[in-house]
Amino acid sequence: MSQITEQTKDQLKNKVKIKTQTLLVELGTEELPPTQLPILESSFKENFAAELKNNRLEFDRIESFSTPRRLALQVFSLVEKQPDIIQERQGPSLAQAFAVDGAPTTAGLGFAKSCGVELSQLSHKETATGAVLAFSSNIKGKATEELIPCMVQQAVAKISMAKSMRWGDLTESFVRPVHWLVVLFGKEVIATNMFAISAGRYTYGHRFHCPRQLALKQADDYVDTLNNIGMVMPNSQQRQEFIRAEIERVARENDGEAQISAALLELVTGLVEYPVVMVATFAAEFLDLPKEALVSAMQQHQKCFPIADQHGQLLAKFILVSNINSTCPQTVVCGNERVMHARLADAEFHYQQDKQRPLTAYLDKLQTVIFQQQLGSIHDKILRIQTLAAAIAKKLGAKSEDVARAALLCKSDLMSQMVGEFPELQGIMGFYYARNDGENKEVATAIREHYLPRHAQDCLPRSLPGICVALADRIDTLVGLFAIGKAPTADKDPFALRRHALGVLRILLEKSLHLDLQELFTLATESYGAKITLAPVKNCIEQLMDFCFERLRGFCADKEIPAKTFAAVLAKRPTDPFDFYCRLKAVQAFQELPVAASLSEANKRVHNILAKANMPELSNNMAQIDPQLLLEVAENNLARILSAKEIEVAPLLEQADYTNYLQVLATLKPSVDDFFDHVMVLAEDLKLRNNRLLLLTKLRNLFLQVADISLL
Amino acid sequence: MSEKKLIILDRDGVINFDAPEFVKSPEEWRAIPGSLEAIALLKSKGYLTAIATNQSGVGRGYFSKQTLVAIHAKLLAAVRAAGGEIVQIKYCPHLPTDNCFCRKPKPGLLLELITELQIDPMVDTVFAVGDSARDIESALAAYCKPILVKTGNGEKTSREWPAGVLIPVYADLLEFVKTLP
Amino acid sequence: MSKTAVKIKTFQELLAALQNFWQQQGCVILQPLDLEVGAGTFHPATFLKAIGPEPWSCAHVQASRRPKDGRYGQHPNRNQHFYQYQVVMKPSPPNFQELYLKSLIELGIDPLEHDIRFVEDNWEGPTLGAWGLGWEVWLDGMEITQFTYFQQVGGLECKPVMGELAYGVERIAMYLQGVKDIKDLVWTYRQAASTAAGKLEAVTYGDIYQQNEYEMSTYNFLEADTTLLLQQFNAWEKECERMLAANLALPAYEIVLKTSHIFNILDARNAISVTERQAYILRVRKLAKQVAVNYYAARENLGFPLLKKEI
Repeated sequence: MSQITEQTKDQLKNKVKIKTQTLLVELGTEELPPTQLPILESSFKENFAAELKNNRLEFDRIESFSTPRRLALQVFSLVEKQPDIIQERQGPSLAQAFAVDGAPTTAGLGFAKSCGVELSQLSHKETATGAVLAFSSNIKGKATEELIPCMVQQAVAKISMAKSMRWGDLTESFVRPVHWLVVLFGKEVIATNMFAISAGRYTYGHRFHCPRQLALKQADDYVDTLNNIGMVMPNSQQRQEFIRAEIERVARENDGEAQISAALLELVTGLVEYPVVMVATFAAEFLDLPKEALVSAMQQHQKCFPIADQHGQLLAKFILVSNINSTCPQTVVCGNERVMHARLADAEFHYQQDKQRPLTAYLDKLQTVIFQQQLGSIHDKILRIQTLAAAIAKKLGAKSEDVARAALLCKSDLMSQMVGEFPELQGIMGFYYARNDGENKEVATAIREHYLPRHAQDCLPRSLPGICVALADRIDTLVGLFAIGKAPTADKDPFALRRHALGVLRILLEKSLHLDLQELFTLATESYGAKITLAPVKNCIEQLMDFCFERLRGFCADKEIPAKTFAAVLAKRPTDPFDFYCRLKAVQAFQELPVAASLSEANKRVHNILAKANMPELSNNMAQIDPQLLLEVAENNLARILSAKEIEVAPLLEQADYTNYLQVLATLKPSVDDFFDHVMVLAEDLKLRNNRLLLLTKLRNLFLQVADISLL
Repeated sequence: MSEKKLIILDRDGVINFDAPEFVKSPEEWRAIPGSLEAIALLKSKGYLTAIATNQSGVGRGYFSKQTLVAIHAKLLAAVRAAGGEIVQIKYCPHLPTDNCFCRKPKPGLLLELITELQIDPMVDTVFAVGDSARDIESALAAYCKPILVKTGNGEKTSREWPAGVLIPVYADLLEFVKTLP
Repeated sequence: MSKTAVKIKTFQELLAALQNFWQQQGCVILQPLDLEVGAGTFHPATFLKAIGPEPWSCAHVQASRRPKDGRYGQHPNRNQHFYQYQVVMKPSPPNFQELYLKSLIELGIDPLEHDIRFVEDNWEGPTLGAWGLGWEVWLDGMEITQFTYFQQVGGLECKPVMGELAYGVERIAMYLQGVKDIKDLVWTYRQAASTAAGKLEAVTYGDIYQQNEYEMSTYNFLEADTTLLLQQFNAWEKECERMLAANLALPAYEIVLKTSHIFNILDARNAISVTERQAYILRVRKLAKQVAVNYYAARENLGFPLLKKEI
């Protein structure tokens, strides 16, 4: 088979400077989705960089740009042509290419033909496998401008888009309709066609401030032309920083500090080409709305930024980012104030209406809201949560009245008007309404906290009642859905069970709480009663436990706990996640010891021996080792030491001090080594053999109390 | 929105080496290096993989339908051995003169696949990977996203495809699959 | 509000201005559909015309009903009956956005004074098996228009793509008039009969619609006979299937609209549970998709007549 190797002649010898130019590529579009802009920009840039690399075109750097109406790249110091290369092709070996008498074979002739030359023009090359036919050719580099159209097309075609659309009667699709294309290499337009548009040197400025065509003499003029004439800030990073600085300035001028959510800032940056930051006000009466509702109305609905004073209290003002240097800024401000007022007035109305009904009043209504078709209503769920949370409260030492009350009321706010308008405020409104009803602070806090963590990076519930209800709610959901066969599949998880399981684990692990999940799952199934078919219940709990172990595996992987360590503990299937974690720590500490490897090997060896001999590894009814049968010194020693260690570690196991437990067992190494060096386990004499197997079983058993270190 | 992910592959020139005189027997079927790895990678990324292929060799009498089944059995075994999976293979046995709806560039095979697998290419992205103009045209007609690979006829096709319509081009199936999320 | 004199002073003038503008762009000016619909999109001139290859451009006012949005006439800007100004152009022209912005200028909205933004919003109509990509157009923070490029309608791909504009005309009018409550929106001015000549009196939105809002809200939320409506839904569903079998796509479509409206009232009446809701939506969608297929076939049989005309 032929091989091709290439060398760049220029790189080897010539210090001749290759001429370079700046390349500008700009795609002009209708407003692109703001949350996608960063990905579109980076995808375009990476794709083009890959195209340049594939074509061996050197350049200094690529700068990328994005605004709602354009995606652009500037490639600086791009070479004007590809380097010349020497391409060497290797063909068949000489033995294959020529017959014994020296006549050329079809293989040899074929290779020559594929190189486009006569057989006599080929050279011979020595390789590790013998001499082969070879052909070197000088391939002249192509001019960059020849390659640009295809590279641009491919870079655009491969941009990763969440969803693309068609427009007019074009076959092609893109994120939004494309209207102009600039491809300038230095001063020259490079003829490129896409979306039925031909590339030119004309870009367009701001939609309203400078809607006309702007001619670009050369690629380097791009940024200045847009910034100074076009009234467009094409560099998204700069634009974002500008907006941030402006928001902070305006907030300061209004005696406050802006609350800038990173996600909102990025979104707003993607909605403007020429940002103008303004401040607006709303009626001070609205400040008695819950802070979260105000912030939600401003951020989620109106895409504005709240301002707070130095104590963190919201001011009756908000900051908006417009896309126009208005001839009458008051118009823009008033318009926004009008919309904000309407929204806050709505919220106020809902809030006042809601406050007239206590949370208990919604309980009946919750009977009409389905949690899941087979599993009943939310009201049914609440009763189950109460039972489960009470059990958890007992174990964790939480105040049972608070837990019971919180569990009863935790879903009531779902029926409120406020949560109807602002679904993101579930739990939070429950908190406010509970306080309004005169419920104590712990109950209200638990209602609020039971939804935490709402996502992987979210904080956890802090209060004990909050933790109890949070766990109970999630466990109830997990058990119910698994029991009716609705466990998540590889790509479908409509009930967010992965998130719920992870939430449970995070709470237990990060708060160092000992709870046996298997026990809780069983308890949960009892609450469901006839709603779930009993036959697969045992299976479903095991399945659910496995599911939780999988989540735990991922959690540990993120914390860089090695897979083998995890496997060693998983072999024990500890159903108390925090206990699982303690064992992991113990095994990790053990693995630092120099003796770890050999003891792990020893365990593997014992496991194999016992497996072959069909002996159970872990057994509660341990037959006694017969000291009379311990003929060899080594086995006698081992037996003695094992007995001693057994007694020594017993209290450690009781205290779940796994780390020290394993550290103590580590001292067994010399005795174990000695045993294997001098004792033949599988002796002819059955009595001896069984005694020795029993000894090994005991050894293994000791380690297995914590983890299966044979898996390390 | 079903959120199913489907890729429809052309066979000759994408998965296995094409032959100028048709792949007429299982012995002649040889996988292109990397293609089996690519199909396994598709599975691990959660994609359903199907095959849509013109096989006029059947209609021309060069090999029987049973032989084709045997060729596909070899393909499926190889795919499975590498850790991948093919959910469906659809082929068109007709001659070009038969004017059927399934022979590419007509979209019949692709439409059958997406109907059976209950996927709407307007809603969920369906990629169709091929090495010739026929593959691209049938993909566009079935509202799938065409991908061209340079193996098989692909190098030639990429040079000849009208520059106006954007089709992403990759060196081979594996290179494309690696770019998928 | 703004420093320039307000050009459009009444709701009536607003509708006329839009009508006039789109007529000048070559749209066929239609009249509103005489059936209850939730939006201009449901008009056959949008839904059916979006299907198939024939070009089409039209514009019209459309009364829209959303029973769930009724507030007995007490809410300052939410009614169960309101108007949209609907514009569709197929294939969508390359300067569709520019035309839209021009129409705003016609209404006296100066884009150098106001902050006009295209904010990503993708529209979906599950009962019609339709969806598209586009934006909400914001005017100083307020949404005033839904701007959509249809991708799929009745389950069929849109080729060529139809661009749609749905103006929220009451909102725009309230903004232009500086009015906070829709009841006070001036529909038109007219000569007051009682006083001296030259004195104009305002006829307000409330004058015309307040009683309607109250009575219809009462009907939708409290009074509607749900048993009757359920029976009607089932009966119309069967009738629709019968019309589809008879290849009468247009009558079938009108029946789809009836079932859709009945569903909306049942929903407002809380007669449909959460799990049943999806089932009803799917039933209507099934009919809509079948209508789309039948309509396409019918046009195909006719040879897609509008392809030959330059509409």
